Amino acid sequence: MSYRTFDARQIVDALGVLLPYVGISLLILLISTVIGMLLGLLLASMLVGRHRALTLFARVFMRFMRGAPAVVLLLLVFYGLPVLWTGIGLPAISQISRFVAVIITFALIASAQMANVFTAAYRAIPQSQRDAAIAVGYTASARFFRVILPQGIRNALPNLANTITWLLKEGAVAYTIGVIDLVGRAQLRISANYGGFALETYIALAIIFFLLIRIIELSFHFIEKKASRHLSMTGHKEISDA
Amino acid sequence: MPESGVFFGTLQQVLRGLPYTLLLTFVPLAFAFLPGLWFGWLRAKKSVVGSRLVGAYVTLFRSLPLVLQMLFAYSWLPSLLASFVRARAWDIDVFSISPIYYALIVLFLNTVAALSEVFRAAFSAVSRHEVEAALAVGYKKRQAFFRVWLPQAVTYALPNLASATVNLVRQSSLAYLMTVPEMTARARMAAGLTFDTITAYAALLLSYVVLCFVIDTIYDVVYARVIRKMTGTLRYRGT
Repeated sequence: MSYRTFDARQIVDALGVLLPYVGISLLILLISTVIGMLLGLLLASMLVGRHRALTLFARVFMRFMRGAPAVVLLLLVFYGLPVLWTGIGLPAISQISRFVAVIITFALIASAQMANVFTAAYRAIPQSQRDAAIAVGYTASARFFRVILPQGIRNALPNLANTITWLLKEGAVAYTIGVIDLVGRAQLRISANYGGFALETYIALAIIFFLLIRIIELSFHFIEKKASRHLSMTGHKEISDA
Repeated sequence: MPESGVFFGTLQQVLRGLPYTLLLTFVPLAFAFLPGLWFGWLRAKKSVVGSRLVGAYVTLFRSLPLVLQMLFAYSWLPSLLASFVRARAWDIDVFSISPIYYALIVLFLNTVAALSEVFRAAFSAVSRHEVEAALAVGYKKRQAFFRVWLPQAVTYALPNLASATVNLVRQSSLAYLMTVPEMTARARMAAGLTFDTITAYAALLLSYVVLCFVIDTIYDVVYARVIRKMTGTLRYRGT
């Protein structure tokens, strides 16, 4: 039995091979996050709204997504969507693009998470804020865009960062249907070496993921600080001293 | 549309993997409970060395996709173990060890990280006044911890514990990469045999969703009971 040798230079080489694929992984993350946020906003409004049937629908959908493993959903979307497509009478297609399947899957997964984040952020806004907005005569849209939305976004920021980094990690299974993103490229490199230097390639991959996630977390932390400046006590010094 | 007979046949195949999925969920959960509790406690009381180390551990595991950890462990652990065994001239064939152990190790390490976050939040949620009140009426620190702080923290942790458990079920699906014959692996086998890929994955998805629903419901019932008991005796709902 032969034992593999560890070659640190292979990590550097793998980093060079993998780095160009950061863009693809981030593009998938970005598109599915944006679609997921829009759908999540819709779901959240169903959850907090007064329409019973819509609330129930949103709840059932979120319960469903809570138990759905990303890899399983991805496989089902990839193989199932063409069938569903022709099933509802649209022109037959044999396959959807792998990229589209990944986007749809992770947009769905993101939407359920985002709905949770938005609902929590909305509920964290004190009722007095809404009452005050009504009292000063804001219209419904002004209440939403000037009172609810700005505060809601600030409340949502920490969880939003968590959700996005979580989505990036969940997205790592995209390679299972043959998408050549970061993980897919790493697998290609390993098979090109007949299974050799797998460990070094995975270490390079781990370094990239670690850094990406730290960068996302730190930038959200920065935005959060900026968005909460007006809440710091120093800003209200005269008031609190008075 | 597939016939219902095909669907139930496939479902049966998928459910043969259920014991493995449950094993991959509850064994890591049981083993990670106490370390997670301890780590969470260290972070909540902000002990300098403890919370730094635990923080680094949590950050590491939360920054790496599980699928990467699985692939990493599967390519590294067996050869690491093999060189270890060979150095001691033990008569063990490392490569015949069931891969389920590697999957369990990865899931265990992740669950420790997840639970330490759950319990950190839970310990922090218990009001300081409660603990101070316990000390004021003459409880020793130990008693205050075990009779006041811990029971409330575990109660507060229950909803997040449910999420962690459901997450673990979802994560266990990746054990198929290590050829563990759990539900996802069975569905892939069934899909390969019947060529009815969609039915296989639909049955699989349904199994996961129902399993998670059952787990959530059990946690909900337990949580409702505990809360009722707590508020019943205290006539006060902790915030």
